[in-house]
Amino acid sequence: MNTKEAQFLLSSIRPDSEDAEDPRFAEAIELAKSDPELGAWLENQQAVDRVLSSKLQEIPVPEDLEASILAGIRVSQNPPFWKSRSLLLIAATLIAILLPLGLLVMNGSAPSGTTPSDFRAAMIEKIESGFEFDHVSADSEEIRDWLVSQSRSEGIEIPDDIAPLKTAGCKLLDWEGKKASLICFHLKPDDPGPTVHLVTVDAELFAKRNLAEANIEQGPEWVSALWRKGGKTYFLATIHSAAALQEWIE
Amino acid sequence: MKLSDEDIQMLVSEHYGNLYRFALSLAHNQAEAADLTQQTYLTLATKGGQLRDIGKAKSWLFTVLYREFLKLRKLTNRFSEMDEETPETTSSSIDEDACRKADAKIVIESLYTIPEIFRAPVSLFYLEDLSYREISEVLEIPIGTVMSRLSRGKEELRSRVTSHLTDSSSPSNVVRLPEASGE
Repeated sequence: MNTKEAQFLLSSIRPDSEDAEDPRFAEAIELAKSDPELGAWLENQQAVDRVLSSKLQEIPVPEDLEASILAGIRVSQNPPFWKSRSLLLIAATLIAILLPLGLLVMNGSAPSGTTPSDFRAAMIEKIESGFEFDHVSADSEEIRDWLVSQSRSEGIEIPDDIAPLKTAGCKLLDWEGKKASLICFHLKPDDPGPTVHLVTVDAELFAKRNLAEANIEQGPEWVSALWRKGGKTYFLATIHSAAALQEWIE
Repeated sequence: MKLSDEDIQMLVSEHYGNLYRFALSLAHNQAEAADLTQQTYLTLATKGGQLRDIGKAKSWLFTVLYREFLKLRKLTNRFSEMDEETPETTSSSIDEDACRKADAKIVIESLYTIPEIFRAPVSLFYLEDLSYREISEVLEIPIGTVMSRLSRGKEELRSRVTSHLTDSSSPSNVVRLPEASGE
């Protein structure tokens, strides 16, 4: 190792740190100990490093920055706006519907004869309940790949108008023992929260019912569509208009 | 691991200052630097669950901030890729005493004038005392590249500081430090 090579390595050593113990620098450090000129260079280098570091630490930071950061975090952690708006109304409605079914669907114990309306109501309640995503991504393709890695929703067919939208994330679900997923989309990139939600169940549900064409239902807050295709059952819900939903699924 | 409110507050309190300074060294703009810092912590609040070890939080935060900066640069098309072969740096023999005489503002402004490709690793080295390995993780570049940019970037910074000290009048290419606007 020559002096230039040693200087190249020694430039990366932080003064007063454990870097001196790093084997990568051992040879260069030994050379600096035996070569007075190199040793003096290193000593000067590190002295200047200490001074420059302290000078740069004097860059002023805006006084209100910390408070702004903490306020922003609190806002981002607040429950979704749709939950607070609809909570009372949905609670009253769903108590009447869901009480005989038990709680939210997670472990497939719903009684036989569950109707599409029951399913819709259960999915809406899940969407509004506020939950943590199992996987966060702004890209629906990436979410698709992740779901496949979780052995879910393989071959999912997201409506063409929905697929390019920015996603918020996805949640793994179960419906009556069948694997399902929930993907949440932002209709506009700067919307505060996702407003379009796609549930995919890896089975064709409601076999005795004709769901060949997506049937759209308008509720008090939500409009939703339910259809079967390719061995799966799809449920698409949004707070936007029935006309918009109709366009997306055509 | 889920971060508690106390964890998040601690991470804000401990690192927001140097995150802001790092952002400022990249962006040259107080509003943008504050925005980058804020965005970094919002990412912590929403994706902090990805952190497996709170001891790695510092590197994680700087990595997120740097990625946000690069995303912003792609959008605004202001980032210019530098050829690794340029610029040529001149050797300077500034010593500790001379360096102490340099006004902090001069040192900071000198940092802003070194090529952008050097500024990130040099800032991380001086501001946050990150090792070359940590800098490599944050900037997602090979260790050898970090060492090369540190070696040349530090030399470049010293050269600029030296030229300020030896030239009593302000050089025409000095970028003035943005005045605190109180915004």
